[in-house]
Amino acid sequence: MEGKVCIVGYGNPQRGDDAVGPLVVQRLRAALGPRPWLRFFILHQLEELLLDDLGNASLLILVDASAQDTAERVQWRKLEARGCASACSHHMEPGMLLWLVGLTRGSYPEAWVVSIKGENFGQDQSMSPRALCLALQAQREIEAFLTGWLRSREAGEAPEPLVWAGQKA
Amino acid sequence: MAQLKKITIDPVTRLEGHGKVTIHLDDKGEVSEARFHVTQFRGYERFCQGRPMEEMPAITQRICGICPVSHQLGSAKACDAILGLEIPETARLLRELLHMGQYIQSHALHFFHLASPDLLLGWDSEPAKRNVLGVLQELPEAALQGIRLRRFGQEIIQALGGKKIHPVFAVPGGVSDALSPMDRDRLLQGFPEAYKAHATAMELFQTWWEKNKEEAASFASFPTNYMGLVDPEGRLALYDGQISVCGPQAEQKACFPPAHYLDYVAEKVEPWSYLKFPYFKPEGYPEGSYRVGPLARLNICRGISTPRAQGALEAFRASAGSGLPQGSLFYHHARLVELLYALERAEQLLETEGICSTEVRITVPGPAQEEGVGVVEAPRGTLIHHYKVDSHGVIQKVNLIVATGHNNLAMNRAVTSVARDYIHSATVKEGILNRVEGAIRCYDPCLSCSTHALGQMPLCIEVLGPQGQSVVQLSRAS
Repeated sequence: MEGKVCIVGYGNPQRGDDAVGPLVVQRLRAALGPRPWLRFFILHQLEELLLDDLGNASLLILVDASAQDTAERVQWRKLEARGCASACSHHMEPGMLLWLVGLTRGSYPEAWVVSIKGENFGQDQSMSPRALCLALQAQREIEAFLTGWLRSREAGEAPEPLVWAGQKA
Repeated sequence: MAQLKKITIDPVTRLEGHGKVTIHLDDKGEVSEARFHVTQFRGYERFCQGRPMEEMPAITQRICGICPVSHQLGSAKACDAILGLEIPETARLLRELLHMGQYIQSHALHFFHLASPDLLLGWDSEPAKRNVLGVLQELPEAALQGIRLRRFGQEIIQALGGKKIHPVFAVPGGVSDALSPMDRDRLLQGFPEAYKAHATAMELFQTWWEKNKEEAASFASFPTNYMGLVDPEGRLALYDGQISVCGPQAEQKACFPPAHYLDYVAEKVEPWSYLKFPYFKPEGYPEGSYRVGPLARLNICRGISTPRAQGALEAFRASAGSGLPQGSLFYHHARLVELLYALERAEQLLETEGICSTEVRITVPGPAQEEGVGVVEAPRGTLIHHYKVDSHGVIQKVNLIVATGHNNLAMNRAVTSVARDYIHSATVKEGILNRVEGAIRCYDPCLSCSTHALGQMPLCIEVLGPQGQSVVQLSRAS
């Protein structure tokens, strides 16, 4: 297939449930095995060093822990590119990463953020039982999503990549 | 007198740490002095007391996320000295390779992320755009090359130490692991692209320099001493060597083993900054002001051992005309010369026979002496780790002098120099904030390193009248 699927799990394994994104991606990697069109990334935080790797991605899935109090425990959000004025290089919002991908290659991949609700973000290397359950749920949802996405690609239903419109930060 | 006013500029600036600048005026409204205050507190020297010496390379590298390798190496060298060890040759080569990886990532980071927005977009361009994102918009391919170059440096660090930041590698007596032939071969493949990225950076810089030669050469220019490590032939040395000090006319004033640094370097404390003020002891304070870092290293060395960097050094010196380059903006050029050296040296090291040997560490039962000094050239300048231990190797005293500290007096002079150009009769010209920042940024200060704390730098400038009253406040963050 053309392009590739990139799945990025990010979070700090020293901060309790913040490790849920990396855990999900670790499990996905074990479950799905090596495939030429599929790449996994595990990071502490999003960073511009990813730009090169996302150069020809058709689908980008970011998996992160969320501290927000939402009804949905595993929340899917279609990501929109969003340039922001921050010059700080230590923290990058998902929308900003996508905006930079668009800036450097001229088009965006389809991108989703999967937010998994966490309840313990203290200095702790273990995760809460609830986050561990939600990790499993998220893993299954992503696997199902990938299956559907691949089918739609095979059927020629995938939308063309959006052309970067040159939004300014 | 100018009217009291407050200008808020967002976003925050591209420095590590918190700081502010106060500019003091005399009765005529002219600048009498400028002070660069570092308002963070350091604690490492204190809380490391009581720790086993073997933990120091791991603890002290946490001082900084940009140059953890330098702290780890300085610390491991200090421990080697306490243990009375001569580490295996392969370990020495691998430590140096790790160091080159850090130089590549740190210098690439500084040029593409921190310095290039000023140079390529202009000091007076809109601050919200004057950052790496603005560079990405203007020159996406060059910015991507910069990102890749930085990553290449990080890959070297990761191949050796398992992680690109805070690697686990240098330990007392050597290093923790050997380099695998597979990693060596993989890393060697990365050099052609890395050299191309460097060439892009150098071309961008030189294009800018040609257009701004006059201002660039005189900007924040002042005579000082320079200090850094040199090898036995007097050439640039980044991992090991003798400490050399030269004056503004390139005359050598001292050359001594790092362990003797206290005979030549003293530190002064000023009540208005947590960052101490090291000075060249034989000349006293503040006359003994000196600079460290890329400009200093190139000004004290007799040459560079790798051919392309030697050529770049000659071009660097030619660009300054006669005499030593003294302007603060020469730091950017010097950094690019060193970046080339780091690439060449890393390639040399990877091609050295025996680099994959597994004899990488020796151990001894306990301390051979109660004191040890480890010195390396961190990307920002000379880094000194000095420990005293008891007979069991438990830390009793720690002294850390980092590059930003060595440059403290010089940064204050740079700020004063810019302020004198931009403030007359108590009237502040537009653009001073950008220039003051630009002057400080030449030194690539890491306030987190120098005070061992974390943070960003919302630079604040305050102009004070002769009675200490606030005349103008300028800041990037309200």
